[in-house]
Amino acid sequence: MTLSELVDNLEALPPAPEVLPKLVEIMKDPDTDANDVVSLIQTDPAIVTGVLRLSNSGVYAPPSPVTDLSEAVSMLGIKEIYRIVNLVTSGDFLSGELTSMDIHKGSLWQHSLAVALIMDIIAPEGTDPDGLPYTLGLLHDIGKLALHHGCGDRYANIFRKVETEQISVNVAEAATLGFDHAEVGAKMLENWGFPEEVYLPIRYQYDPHGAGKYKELAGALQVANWGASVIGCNDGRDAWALKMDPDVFHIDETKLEQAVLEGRFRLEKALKAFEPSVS
Amino acid sequence: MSGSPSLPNFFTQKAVVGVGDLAVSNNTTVTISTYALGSCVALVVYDSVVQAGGLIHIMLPDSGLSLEKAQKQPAMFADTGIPLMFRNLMGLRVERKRLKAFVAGGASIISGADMFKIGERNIAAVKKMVNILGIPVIRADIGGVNNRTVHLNIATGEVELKKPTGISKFSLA
Repeated sequence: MTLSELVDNLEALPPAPEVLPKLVEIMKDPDTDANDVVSLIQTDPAIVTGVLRLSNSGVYAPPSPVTDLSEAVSMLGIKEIYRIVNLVTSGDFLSGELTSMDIHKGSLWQHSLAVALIMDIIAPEGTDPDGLPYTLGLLHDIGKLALHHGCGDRYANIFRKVETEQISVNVAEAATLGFDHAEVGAKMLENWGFPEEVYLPIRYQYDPHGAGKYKELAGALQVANWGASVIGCNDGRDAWALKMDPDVFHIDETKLEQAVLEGRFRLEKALKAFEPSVS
Repeated sequence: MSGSPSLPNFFTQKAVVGVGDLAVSNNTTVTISTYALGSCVALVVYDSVVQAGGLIHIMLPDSGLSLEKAQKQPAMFADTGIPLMFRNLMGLRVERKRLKAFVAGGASIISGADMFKIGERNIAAVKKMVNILGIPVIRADIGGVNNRTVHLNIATGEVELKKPTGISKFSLA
């Protein structure tokens, strides 16, 4: 099976997201206002429902129930709504179980959220739009879904290769299948209409030098992926079979550990947003 | 009561220890478990005389990183969490000289700068603390690239270690 054949046959996955790629685009425009965001996201009932549900969660604790999208946007602000749309969209895809990779139900989404939160802390300053690191974190492993559904039966061999040859999972995938989950994820995102600042850092998350002008973002993504593992958010077989490229993204050791620790506390808070509010 | 017929244990309870948390117990219906040990390290201890034990899931080696967070959650760090677990065990009449310990976890990346080898530093920090406290570690399963799951049965001191490559069982009694 070629990469194109795999990515062109994703019937097992939810339909391609339409709102998030457009939202990433309009967030690049400094003139984007709340009306633009409302106009865009109100076209998707599932996202409207998710935004309202999270707006009413214990984390935001509104004084009275939020029942209207415009009200939610004015209460939380565009940046927070952007994050919620990311969460709702990624949750549609990442919440399931990937048995071929020993990834339990909900684990991939929690891992992705942890990477997103650590990216928010460590990503290069001046990233435009400023929510981009968060999006990269949430979507960085989306290729694993396609591989599980399209090539899941090959993973026993892939993990055997990892364990006998001491190579990283993405290298074993490439050697076995001809492509790895980063490449597959990037192709999916490109096909779905995401801009290159999303799919290129994801494509090169294990080889940041290849990402050209996005190499620092790709390097940060590699480090954030490691950081999520440190805080216990990296389910799956051979989850530590990682090779770190030290020459792209520079961060002081203490600052990195503090970011990872802070990421864990932010993760706890974010997960609370999915609990029903207490009123 | 001596001589009483033993009933099947319908009331087995599971205490799940999350990342940066700990549990101790002398309740013989309890199994203490921790899941998805990656670079984190679990220290499991058991005193067979009083049928009591504990498990801590350590995330980072040194509380110097954030004293504020160490106060909120001391079990995150080896240097604050392990002494806390032992203080809690002393309350269950555990005696240090009778304890036996098992260490698991500390997975590490295949290659990269030392700063990313957090699993190795976690293992070193745990070793240092058990040496200071004089606890004999009778078994260890550390390093590699796999996640691990560990269960401690408080009634028997039996430990079950689960890895993708298989399950092993042994006793700390």
